[in-house]
Amino acid sequence: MRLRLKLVLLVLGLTTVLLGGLGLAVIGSLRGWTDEVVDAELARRADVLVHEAHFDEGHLELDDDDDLATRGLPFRIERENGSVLLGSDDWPSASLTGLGAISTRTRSGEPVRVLSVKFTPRHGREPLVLRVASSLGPVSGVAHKFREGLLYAVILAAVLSALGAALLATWFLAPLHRLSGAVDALEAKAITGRLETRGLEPALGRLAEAFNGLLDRIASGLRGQREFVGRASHALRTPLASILTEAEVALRQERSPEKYRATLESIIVTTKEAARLTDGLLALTRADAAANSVAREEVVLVELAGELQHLFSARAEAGGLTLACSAPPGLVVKVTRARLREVLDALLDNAVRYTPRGGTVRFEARAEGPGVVLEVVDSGPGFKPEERTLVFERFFRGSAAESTGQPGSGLGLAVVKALVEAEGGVVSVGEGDGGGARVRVSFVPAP
Amino acid sequence: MRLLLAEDTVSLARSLAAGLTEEGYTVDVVGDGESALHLATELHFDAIILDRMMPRMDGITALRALRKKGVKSPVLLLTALGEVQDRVDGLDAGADDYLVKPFAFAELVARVRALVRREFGQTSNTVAVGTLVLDLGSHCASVGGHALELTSREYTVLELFVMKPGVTWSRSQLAEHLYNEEAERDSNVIDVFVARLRKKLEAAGLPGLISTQRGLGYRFEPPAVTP
Repeated sequence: MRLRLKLVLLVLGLTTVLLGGLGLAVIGSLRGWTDEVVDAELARRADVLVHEAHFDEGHLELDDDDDLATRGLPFRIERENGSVLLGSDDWPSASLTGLGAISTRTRSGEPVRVLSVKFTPRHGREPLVLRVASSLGPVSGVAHKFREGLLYAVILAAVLSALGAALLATWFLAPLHRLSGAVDALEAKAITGRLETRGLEPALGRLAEAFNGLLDRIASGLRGQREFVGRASHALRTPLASILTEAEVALRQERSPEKYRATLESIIVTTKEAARLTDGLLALTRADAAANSVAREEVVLVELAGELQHLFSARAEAGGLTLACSAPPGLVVKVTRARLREVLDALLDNAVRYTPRGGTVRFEARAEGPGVVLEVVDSGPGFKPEERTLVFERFFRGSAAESTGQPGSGLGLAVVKALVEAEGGVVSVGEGDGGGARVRVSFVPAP
Repeated sequence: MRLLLAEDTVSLARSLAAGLTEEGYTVDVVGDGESALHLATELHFDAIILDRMMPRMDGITALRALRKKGVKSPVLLLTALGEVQDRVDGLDAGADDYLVKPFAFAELVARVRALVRREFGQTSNTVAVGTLVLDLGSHCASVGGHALELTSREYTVLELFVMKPGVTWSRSQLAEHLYNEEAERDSNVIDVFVARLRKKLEAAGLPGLISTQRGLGYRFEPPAVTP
């Protein structure tokens, strides 16, 4: 509404100024032109009078007195001191001084134009002043009517253009109104609706397309969110269903103590799995929260390698694996220590879990350019090439996980990725020893 | 009654199968949607229990494919989400019922029983043919108020007969309802069950209910209602 009002006022103002200015210019030039015409007529008459005026026996006379008098063209001839020597009866104005053409008014207020010239009549001894006058009444009437007409025309034009502007504004705003109506009609929850972009003004079409693009992105985000909630709740509720069913089925009839024991043991395994899953989900939530770089410190990697070697040696030994954790002395990486430990724990846990007896698991650190690269390499089943981009997806379980029957949440590498990214690093997977897995974590300090 | 259970979580699948077997059902277990689809198209199941999220093919996709192939067995969908849209998706895909995890085992059994009953056109848990009454919930049969002592297999055969009176059952059809894919089958055993069942019914005063159709199998003739 305000836009329309602004447009109307703008057009109204512009029309008035333009047409008014044009009218004033026309009036000005018209006046100059009428003055010229009248002046030429006056000059012609003055010329005639100058030639006709002569002194006869001390009296000033005209050659053809009647002619001018009857034509009603007022004139008078004065001495330079202003005393009138001769004049028509209908001289309209009071005494004038000065020479040249001037516009003035009679005592009754009628506009007249008076031309005064100095001349010396025949047989005269002194110069006299001849004044001729012409009523501007008819001309000024026409001019007055013209001005009046012009005023009405300007007002009419202004009103019409304002109306036109209002209509134009409505016309131009209509697609916008339709567009906003369509946006209103889109339901907040179901982001399935899209705006019609065909048949719109190009500019509005682009706006609608941009809006549709935004809707697409929101919808895709929501889909991802819904998918995650679905998978998370499936992953959380299934162990609960499992525990409940195991207990309920066990209690449906009397059983041997061994059967009860087996059920309880199975429930413990399932509960542990559920707890690990909950940990994974919480870790994801923590890692997804804004990265806090304040807690970062310089972690000496050779110390970290020692810790990891110590922590995993028992499990590696039990699994018949060769474990080697190493780092060049003096190499440090600036990260949050707890997060890096969480990442490497998860990676080594995976490696030890999936690598069959007799295999090797290595943790290595090295400087690469300005950054630091940490790698966990094993000789296990590895990642299939087509799985390498999927392994970081939440709840993805690789073919190795299925074929080895290892329990898992499908969250391990997703947590690793979230943690590494929260620390400003990059994680990728590749091929390790003899087709095994290689997980590479690199940190490049910000310039 | 033969059920297909498709559930990828091993511990849940194991305990569900154990519980359902104790309930007298014959259960085949698969761990992913693809196997479920494969098995359900190959064989006839009286009801199918499908987990919604499974590796390789999720439950909804498998269910749609099953319905497209014309498999009409009733399907109970196990889902983790109880939201309306989720239920609608499941029912639209062709599920007959759904159960939100975690569920009480007794409820699952009740729902499966209801699905099977509906499949056979029964509306209540008690089915009476003349003086013969079957309680589908407690798996008990009685004649004129006197309980009939039946083994689980014998009861299952009688239930199949009573559910579809006048229908001829081949030995292999009966075996399909009694044994899952893992069990070793011997169709002669069916003859033994039927013979024993016949004898017990005769002893209860209902002779001639089960007739032998030579070369075809067995048929159950409902007893005439005594006035």
